[in-house]
Amino acid sequence: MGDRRLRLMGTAGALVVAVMSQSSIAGQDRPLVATVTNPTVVTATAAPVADQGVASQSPTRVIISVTAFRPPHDGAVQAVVKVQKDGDRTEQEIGRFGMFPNAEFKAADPSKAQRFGLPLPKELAGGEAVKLNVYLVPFKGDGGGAMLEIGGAEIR
Amino acid sequence: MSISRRNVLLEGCAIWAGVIATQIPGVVALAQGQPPRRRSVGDLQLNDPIVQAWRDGVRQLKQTPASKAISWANFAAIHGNANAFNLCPHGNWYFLPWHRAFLLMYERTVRQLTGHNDFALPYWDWTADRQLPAAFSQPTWNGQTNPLYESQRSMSPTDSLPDEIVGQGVIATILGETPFETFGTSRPSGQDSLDQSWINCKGCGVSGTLEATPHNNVHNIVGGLMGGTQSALDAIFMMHHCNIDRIWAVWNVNNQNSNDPLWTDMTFQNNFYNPDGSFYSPKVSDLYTPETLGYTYGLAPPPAAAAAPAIMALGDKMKTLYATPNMSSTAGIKSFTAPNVQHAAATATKPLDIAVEVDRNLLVAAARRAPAGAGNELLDFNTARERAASGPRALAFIRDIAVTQHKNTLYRVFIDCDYLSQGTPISDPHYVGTFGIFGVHEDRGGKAAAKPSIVVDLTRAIKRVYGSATELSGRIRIQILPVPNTSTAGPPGTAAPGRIEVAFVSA
Repeated sequence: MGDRRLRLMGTAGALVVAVMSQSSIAGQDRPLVATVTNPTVVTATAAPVADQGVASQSPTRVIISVTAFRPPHDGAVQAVVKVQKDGDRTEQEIGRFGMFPNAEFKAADPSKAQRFGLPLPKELAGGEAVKLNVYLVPFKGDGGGAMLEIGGAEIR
Repeated sequence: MSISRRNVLLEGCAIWAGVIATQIPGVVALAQGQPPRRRSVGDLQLNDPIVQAWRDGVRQLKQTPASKAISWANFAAIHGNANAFNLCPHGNWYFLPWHRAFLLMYERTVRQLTGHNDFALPYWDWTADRQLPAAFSQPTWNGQTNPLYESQRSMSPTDSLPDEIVGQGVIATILGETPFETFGTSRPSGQDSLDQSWINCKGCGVSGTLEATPHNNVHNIVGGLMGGTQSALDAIFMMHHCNIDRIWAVWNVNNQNSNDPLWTDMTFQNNFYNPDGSFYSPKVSDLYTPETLGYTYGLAPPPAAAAAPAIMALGDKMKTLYATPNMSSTAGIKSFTAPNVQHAAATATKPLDIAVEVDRNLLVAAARRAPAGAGNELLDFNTARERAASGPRALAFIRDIAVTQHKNTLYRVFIDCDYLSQGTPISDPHYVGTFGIFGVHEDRGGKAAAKPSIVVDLTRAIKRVYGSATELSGRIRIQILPVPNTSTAGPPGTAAPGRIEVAFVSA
């Protein structure tokens, strides 16, 4: 009985680990997709210093990579990016961008992603990572059909 | 480029422009003074010679077969066709200089085609003018098809660009971004040569706020051709990019471009045309200074802070106005009073709409006054305020206002808005301002308090609404619309002024 219990606990533990691993893989490898009805959350981490280049001379920014986009059936949408503020569970907008041309786009590989730099306020720039809420907001109509795929984000 | 060097270039621009121009076929060298000035299309009347020259030039280009090098279709194809962008860079650091040269091609060509040597492309200052310029939203002009009009646009003539895309806060963010690769979008990732393929490596850099926010979103909000790869087929494209170009010039007053040879030494080989059909192949470093290219935005380095005589004179007149409610006229002040205001009240469903008969000439002067700017661009607020104080301005005095439910009400003021409703946004060009009332009608020791009076400055709204109008009546309608001051507030109250005056003041 004791051995069986141990085996069951071990199996359960392995299952838990497997589920957690799937979640973490989902957070990093599964595309992050925002639609008008479903924003997405992306974690921006600090880029290695060697990669900063010219960016090291400038105020801190968040660089967001967009790997795919589909415009709405009618009209246009914009991406609105807000930083999650853990302290008071609020969010603060740091910028917004549009995809131009307003046409379907799919990066053939990550190096072809479109990247957008948004200023990160000093009070939010101190940590190693920030969580970003990315909303897709229509200018007119309901923005139906629109999709924005985020390949990743980093702080520079 | 430092400011001192820029000063030398500005002072010597006539010589420089002459030297540069003589080397470019089809361009008339300017003998003296500043090169032609690019102006805001919002400040130009529909029959202004600049607007007319653009119409004429676009019409001629559109009437030329696409097979010709100098044609509307062929110029636009340089930027892109129905399926894809062609030579134009987006999302990398050539975005600004390439589009500067692209606009130059149009400007020089229109001068050549129309013979209007002082022509300079107007810009659409969408921060100040949130709606499509009137010259571009009319299907016809003087009985002819308007070549500046496009029926496919998503943006209607009454739609307004939002603050979050083009507002002063966005512009301030843009102008505060440094260095150049943050402001003007960064180099393509991995660029290691001056090979032409790096120019239109799409989206290979990191777009800064200028490209990502107003540039991209205005394209998309205008929509139709402007939203896609054929955007240069829409004549508003040039006005939109002219404003982007102007913002770059403003940024340069206080900031230097990149000095990286991978940027400065890139040549846009055979990307553009001279007016005679030969290729125009500038290097990025040829494109730094508008004045050497034959145009100017009239940007001057900020002067040292000095005494402000216009502000002081205006202040004296304002004191006179405040002190003399019933004054009709004195030096530099002319007042007009609306009749029959008593017993009229503004409600949420029926805004107050009071017509005031004024001197038409004074209304024209206020509508046509030269723009002063807010000072944000050059961070010289003293000079901006002095300029703002020195021109004619119009003020509305709304006196002795009886209000109800004032604690949960904002009172928005508009002028001459025929479609005014609770849904009319404050970004609408007819919007003047908003006032609230605090602590009114409270009995103070047995003595009733005087009803409040407020003054609002109508000048900017008059410029937006009447600035490009060809005919002005001598009447202005002052409108008051009560709205709830929070989303959870109850129904808004009412406002019934005892008297409304419009005063025109010149410092």
